[in-house]
Amino acid sequence: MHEALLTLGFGLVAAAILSLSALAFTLEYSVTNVANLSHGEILTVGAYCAYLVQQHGGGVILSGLAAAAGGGLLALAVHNGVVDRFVRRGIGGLPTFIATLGVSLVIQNVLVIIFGASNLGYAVPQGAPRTVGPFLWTDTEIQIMVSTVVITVLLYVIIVHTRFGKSLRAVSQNRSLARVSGINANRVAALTWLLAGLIGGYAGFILAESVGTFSPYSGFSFFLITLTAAVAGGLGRAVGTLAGGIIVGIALEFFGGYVSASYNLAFAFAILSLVILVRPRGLFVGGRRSVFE
Amino acid sequence: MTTLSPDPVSAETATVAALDVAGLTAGYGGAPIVEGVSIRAHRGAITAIVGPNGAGKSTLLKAIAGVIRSSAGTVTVEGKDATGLPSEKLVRRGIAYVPQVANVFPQLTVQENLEMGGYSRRHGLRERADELYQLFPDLKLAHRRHAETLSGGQRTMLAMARGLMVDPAVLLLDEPSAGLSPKFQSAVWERIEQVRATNVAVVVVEQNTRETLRHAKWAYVLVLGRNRLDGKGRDLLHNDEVVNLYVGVLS
Repeated sequence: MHEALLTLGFGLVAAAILSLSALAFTLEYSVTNVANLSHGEILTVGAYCAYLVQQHGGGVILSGLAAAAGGGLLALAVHNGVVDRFVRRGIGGLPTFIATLGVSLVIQNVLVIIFGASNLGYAVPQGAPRTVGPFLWTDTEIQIMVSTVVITVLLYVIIVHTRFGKSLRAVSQNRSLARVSGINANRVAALTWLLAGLIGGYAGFILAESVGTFSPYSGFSFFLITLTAAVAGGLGRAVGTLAGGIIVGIALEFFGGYVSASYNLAFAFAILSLVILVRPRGLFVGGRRSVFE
Repeated sequence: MTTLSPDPVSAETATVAALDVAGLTAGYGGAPIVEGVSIRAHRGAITAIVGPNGAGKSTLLKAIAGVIRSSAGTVTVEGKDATGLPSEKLVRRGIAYVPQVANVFPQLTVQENLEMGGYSRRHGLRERADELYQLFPDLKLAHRRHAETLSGGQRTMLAMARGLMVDPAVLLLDEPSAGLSPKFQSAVWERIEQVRATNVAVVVVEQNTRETLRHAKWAYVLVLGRNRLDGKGRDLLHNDEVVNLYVGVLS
């Protein structure tokens, strides 16, 4: 029992990181209807931005902000430079999907050129594990979970209560109707990608903090798990995606703890395949028609 | 094009048309669906666009609203050129467009749908919503419900109210009564008449030609994407050619 609770504690950390990444991915999807294959690189770039700040003596807070800023700028650039050009011309999912794969490969290789392909790590130590109830968490892990809760609550308030949040939902539900209502859909989509990039960049930072090391390819491997969480939760739906992130994050940690951590990715894909076979619209969507059909 | 009745402009003593569409050509990238179509609509009047299936009526509305691009012709709103503007800018010029389907945001509440309709308003959002709740009392009762939970008739009302949030000069309605029961159809026409009475130029595309012509001050008949004839609604109701176009509908 005790061991299971410890695993659950690590699972919650994994769930926090995965939820942020999946939320960012689902935001990108919701306003453009494009699965962004370069989403992982937003995380990777975030991790490297934080690394640069730490190299120059910056602390955790400054590193986190730099990661968010780097991810945000990259997401905005990918949207305005690539995705939006397809969406404006009414070119559908598949060509855009492939274009974002191209972006992903370019960014990975640019990072290899600048930083090399080997693993890097942060200088700031994780801190010794401490007992919190039945769980064992380091200071860094507590920072990861607390900041995730804060970001999630902020995001909820933005989406549900602000004028921007309402226009975001309007664009995701019916872009054409949003436009005839006077909403500049391209601008709303750009701002949504910026917001997703801020979250994704920060997720890349806490992912690297949690794992201990990162490389130009870390974001892409984590993206594959992100995809599982987002699809399991129901693509384009924030609350479902959050739940998907938590469930998949905890499930992966248990699989890693009790079976084998080396096969995490295989396990994630097994979940993804199962969800697509049994509940193609996501675990929590029920019989209702999806927004995107 | 044949005109059966005196020109509406002279009848209206030379007021500027709220909407003046001249020689509009538009389509979906291939051959044009509407070609050189001209229509005019005045404030405080219902203008109908009728015609058989495939006449390009809905396409015409989409082109006027900027949803699709027109390749030729001009659109003038209240005397100002608005040709080629994207839909989010046209709405600021006073054009409100209500599509036939997917005309509400399903997972926004009624209230939020109205807020989005008034997105381009700088102020007076709440006052305008209250005015529209008076015009559509059903919506007031349902203002916190998601649009997807509304009945078909309520959804049509919400779609119209969403369009009216900007206090438009021109309201373009694409088949507002399609798919509704006869009871709701007459309720929709009652609302359209009320909206018209608030000095809006209402442009209606409809399949139910007889009912539409009864309400229309002026009506245009489109055939194969071109103007065929136009005239007072009631005159067209008894016009042999119109009757022939709609055998089984009017008889």
